Amino acid sequence: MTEQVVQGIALAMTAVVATVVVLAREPKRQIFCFMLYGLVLTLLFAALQAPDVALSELAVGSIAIPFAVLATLVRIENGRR
Amino acid sequence: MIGFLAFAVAAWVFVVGLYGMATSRNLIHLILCLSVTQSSTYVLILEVGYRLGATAPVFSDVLPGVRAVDPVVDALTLTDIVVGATATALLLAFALRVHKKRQTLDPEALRPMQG
Amino acid sequence: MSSRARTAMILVSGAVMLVLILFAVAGLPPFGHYPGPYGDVLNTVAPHERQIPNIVTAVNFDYRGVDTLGEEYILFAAVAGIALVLRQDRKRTKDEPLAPSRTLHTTARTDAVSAFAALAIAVTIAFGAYLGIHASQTPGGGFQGGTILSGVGVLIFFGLGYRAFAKLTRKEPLETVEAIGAGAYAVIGLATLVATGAFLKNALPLGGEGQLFSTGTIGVINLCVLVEVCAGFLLLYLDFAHQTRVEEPEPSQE
Repeated sequence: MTEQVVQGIALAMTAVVATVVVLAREPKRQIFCFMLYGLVLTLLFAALQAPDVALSELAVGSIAIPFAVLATLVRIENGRR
Repeated sequence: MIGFLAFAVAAWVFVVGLYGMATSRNLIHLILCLSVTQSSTYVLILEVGYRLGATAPVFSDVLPGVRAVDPVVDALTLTDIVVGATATALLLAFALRVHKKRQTLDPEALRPMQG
Repeated sequence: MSSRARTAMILVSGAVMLVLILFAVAGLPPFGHYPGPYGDVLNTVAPHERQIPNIVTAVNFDYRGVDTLGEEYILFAAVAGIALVLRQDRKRTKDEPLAPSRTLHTTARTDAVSAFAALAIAVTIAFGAYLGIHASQTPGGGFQGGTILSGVGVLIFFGLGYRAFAKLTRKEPLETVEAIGAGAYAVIGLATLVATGAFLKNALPLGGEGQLFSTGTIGVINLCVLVEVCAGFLLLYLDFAHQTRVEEPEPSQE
């Protein structure tokens, strides 16, 4: 019963945070929403009894993608001067 | 009870990502919306393999024979996430290149040049 | 087509698509009642046949090993593509950071960041190596461990500076290591083809239950994937970190 509650909360948070990621139009704001979305997805994957996938999403969503996006944003901001 | 909600969340995230891609004014925003759409497929395929009251398919502390979820969808998804992140980085490199050439990241302003 | 027309069109077609997808997933078996026999057969057969507790790793590197070979090569190709796109003007780049602009505020690196990064590097190496090597005993594996180990590069970049990062991760050795990791997978497959007649079939002796090196070729392939993913991501970070440095103006005929 409690696992259904946890899964329900995780699913609701996934839907909400995904909408927030799409509605955040400025990339500098959106990347932080995207990192939050990675954390929520990790919780959802752990609630669905898939620890391997949760580890994979955690590693990728907190290390690889934010670094690439932030480096791109630095370059674009400077080129726009 | 949460049966249909689970699949509905995956469908909603997919469509919301598509909406973000279609109405985007910034290439980086578009690329991150594409990543959101990809993640909805991971959620859907994991939900297909889930079994109520079952545990993870790792038998290091439980005996083999306990009810476990499907290991095949776990295996497909975990490689997919890492490779999808690399493809997203490749798209970001292309966006950087476009910015260097055309000084803008607006898809409206980046229409193909005529003539 | 104007922007408002496009927004209206995506709203309408998005709603139609949502209804269609919901209609399609309503035909699936209900959530939580996975019926298929394939997963059950694997859960029953694999722990004894391959002496491995983590069935997901067994599926990744043995039962569907060719799929993982293809995925690893997608990663390799994507890293090569990033290198191709971002390195066209590498010889004209200097080592200084980009100057602060109107919207780009930079501050000097504080001691707290450097100290935390130094501590975090030690923990990350230990955790990433543990996760990558114990693929067959606990949830983990080459992909997860490789990504976490590559986070060490990001920590060095933020905590110790670009020069330390560039000195530690030079392009040529990293590319060689990545190629060795990617090629070793195929070489192991060919070697098992010669030894047992099937590509990627297990040819090493299996040990007892729960030991680290008791799973035959799965452990060796897992180490190849760990090396390849870590080196691939470090090359990716190197290419992107290079974009934050000053570039000399491009020649006028471009």
